[in-house]
Amino acid sequence: MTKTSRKRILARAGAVAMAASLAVAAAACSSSSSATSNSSGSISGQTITYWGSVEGTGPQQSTQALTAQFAKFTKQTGVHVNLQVIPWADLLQKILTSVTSGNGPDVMEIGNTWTPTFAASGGFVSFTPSVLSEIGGSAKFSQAALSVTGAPGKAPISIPVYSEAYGLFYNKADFTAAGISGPPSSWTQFLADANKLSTDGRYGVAIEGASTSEAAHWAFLLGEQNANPLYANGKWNFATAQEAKAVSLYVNLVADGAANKSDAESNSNVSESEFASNKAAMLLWQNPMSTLSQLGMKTSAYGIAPIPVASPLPSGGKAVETFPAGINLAVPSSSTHQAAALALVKYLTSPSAQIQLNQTYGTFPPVLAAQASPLFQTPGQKTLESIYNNHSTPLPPVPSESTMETDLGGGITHLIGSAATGGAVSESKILAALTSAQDQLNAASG
Amino acid sequence: MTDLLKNGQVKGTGEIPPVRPAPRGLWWQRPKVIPYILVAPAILFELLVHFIPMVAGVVMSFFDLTLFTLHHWSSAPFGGLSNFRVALDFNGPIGSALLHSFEITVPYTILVVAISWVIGMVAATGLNVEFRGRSWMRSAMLIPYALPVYVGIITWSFMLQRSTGVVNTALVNDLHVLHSPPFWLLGTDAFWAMVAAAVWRWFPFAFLILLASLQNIPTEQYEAAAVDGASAWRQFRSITLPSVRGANLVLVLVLFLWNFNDFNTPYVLFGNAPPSAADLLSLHIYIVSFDSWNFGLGSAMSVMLMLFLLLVSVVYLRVLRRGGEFNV
Repeated sequence: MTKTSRKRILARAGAVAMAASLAVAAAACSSSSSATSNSSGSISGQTITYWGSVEGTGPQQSTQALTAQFAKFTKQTGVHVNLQVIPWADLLQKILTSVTSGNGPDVMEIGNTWTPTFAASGGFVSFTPSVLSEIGGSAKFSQAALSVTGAPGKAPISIPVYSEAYGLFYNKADFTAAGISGPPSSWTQFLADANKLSTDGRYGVAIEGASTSEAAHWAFLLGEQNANPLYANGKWNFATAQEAKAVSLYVNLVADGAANKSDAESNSNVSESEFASNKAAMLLWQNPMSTLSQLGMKTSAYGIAPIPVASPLPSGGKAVETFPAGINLAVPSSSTHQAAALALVKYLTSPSAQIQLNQTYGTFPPVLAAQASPLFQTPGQKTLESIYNNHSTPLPPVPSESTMETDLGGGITHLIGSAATGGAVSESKILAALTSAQDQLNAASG
Repeated sequence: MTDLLKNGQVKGTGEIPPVRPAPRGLWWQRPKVIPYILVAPAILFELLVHFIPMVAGVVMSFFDLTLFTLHHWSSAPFGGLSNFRVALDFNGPIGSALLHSFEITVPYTILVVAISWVIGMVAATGLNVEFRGRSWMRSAMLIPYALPVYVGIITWSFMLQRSTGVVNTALVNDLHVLHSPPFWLLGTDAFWAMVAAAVWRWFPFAFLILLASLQNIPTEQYEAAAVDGASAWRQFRSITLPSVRGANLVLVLVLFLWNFNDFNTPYVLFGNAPPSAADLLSLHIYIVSFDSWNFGLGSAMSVMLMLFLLLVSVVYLRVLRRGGEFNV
């Protein structure tokens, strides 16, 4: 037997064994969408399953807000929606499993930075122009929001539903007491203000030092500002001295005394509560308004400003203040009720649902007609919307983006740990960590 | 099974029951068939729950099952041994990270097994003596083992937080042993935090097995030794230890396997970005599989972990069999 034919037989035997075993596994899981298709072709009477992410103040608020919308949708269309709110820690893996097994919901909320990754998997319905026209056409959405819906140059695999932007949230009373006239616009000023505000057990800024995605986001934003995009010329590009210098600002916040050393352990939105309880005077975050009000902080107590920018901007640097963050809706191609699923996507992107949901969550609507509502014309919302529309650049739209968040983000969180335990981390040590993360990423994503 | 029921007799009962003629009923009522029918459901579920996923894992390790091929996994390209080559290339980034993880897992396992055994043995010996409140203390010792793993470990994570944890509150604010609160969940301390949580979780199991074994030692042996003037330490070495050898051998093997494969402790304490000093193999493989979406590579690493543990178990049992006292 030749080597090639033996390899082929082995491959075939392997594929059969894998098919058999995965088929058994798939058969063991019952489909979550239990509805039967309506033979008349009408979607009325069908039941579809919806996976919601945790938005606003938590799972309870997400469940209440979505249930109220689904009741109206059922009244309009006769389609029943079975809602499951999935914690963020489990969402990516649940989606992954559903893509593999073909057993999943009919509509799901996904983080928009995952869309290039999901587009590569091929497990989602493409929003081609004809599908888009079924849900009201692309013209109803903000262009920035539509820029992160799938793989570049291809039909979107998701539709924006809630939009968010990074902003600088600052405690007005703390600023006044410290004699600071307004929010800092440059990082130099930010560090000076943060140190001035760090007094009496309060720190200048609260960060989520143990969050890999936060770390990756800051590496991206600081890289863009310092003329070092994370991804350039078709490959990852963060193992550079320039990026090490840029990231050093974020890594060393805990060593500089601008942030509490204990923030190196922070994850799961601890920084919002630190800001709300005035243990920190500033917060760099995406749309925390609803959480802050739940934590008892009045809207009048804080101001919202763009995040600082490197000043002067190095040659090639851009004043990028956020990436178009937010949540999209996707329909898995395994859904047996795609017409009903698309009807729900259309409903959730209608102005009235958009206004109510985004108002509840403290996000802003990617649908232009809803954005125009007076509810989203407050100075704070206008600031975030302006950052989103005018100063945003998408995270690298490549399939290995989600792996980058783990590898690069993991490397940076470890550096923050070192800064908290052993003092300021040198740029050469940062460069070594960035290089190791980039090697890992390139090797893992082939 | 057939030995037990040969000729309708029950082996080892001493008395031979009257031989009944084989019933002439349906085929499934025959004595030779019934045992197979009775174990069939168990075998079926064993296949479903253990064997098939294991085979799937082995098969997956030979395929390039990545993000791009996952949805159409049945047509994933056959990669032969390429995943194994990548994982074993210790000069490459993935292989060297795997080796580092292995180098953390070995001392972690040895420490957890050794410390759990010592605490379990001391507790079992102490609680094998009659005294008032003994049964209450025995029950109390089992609490860590009875708690759901997640609850136990997340409590450790709360206790070890730098700013709000009870450990630092006690050491810094109450006892003034330390001036500034250390980080238990970052840097090299993370390794020791993980060992402490794992020992807390496993010593009750060692205690339970050893106590059961200690209770089989006739008290006359200790009384005779005491009459001969043997000290407590001598009694422990010459009576207790040899008597529990059989139980000990299984206990150490099982604790070794469970801890080498430990996923819960590091995952609940550190999530998907454990500090370098706490990067245990199971979590490492999970991160490769689920965060990089490279299931072929993750499976190859799992297969190697399985082969390594199989090898350790076989060598361990062989060596003991040579000792002659323990037959597996």
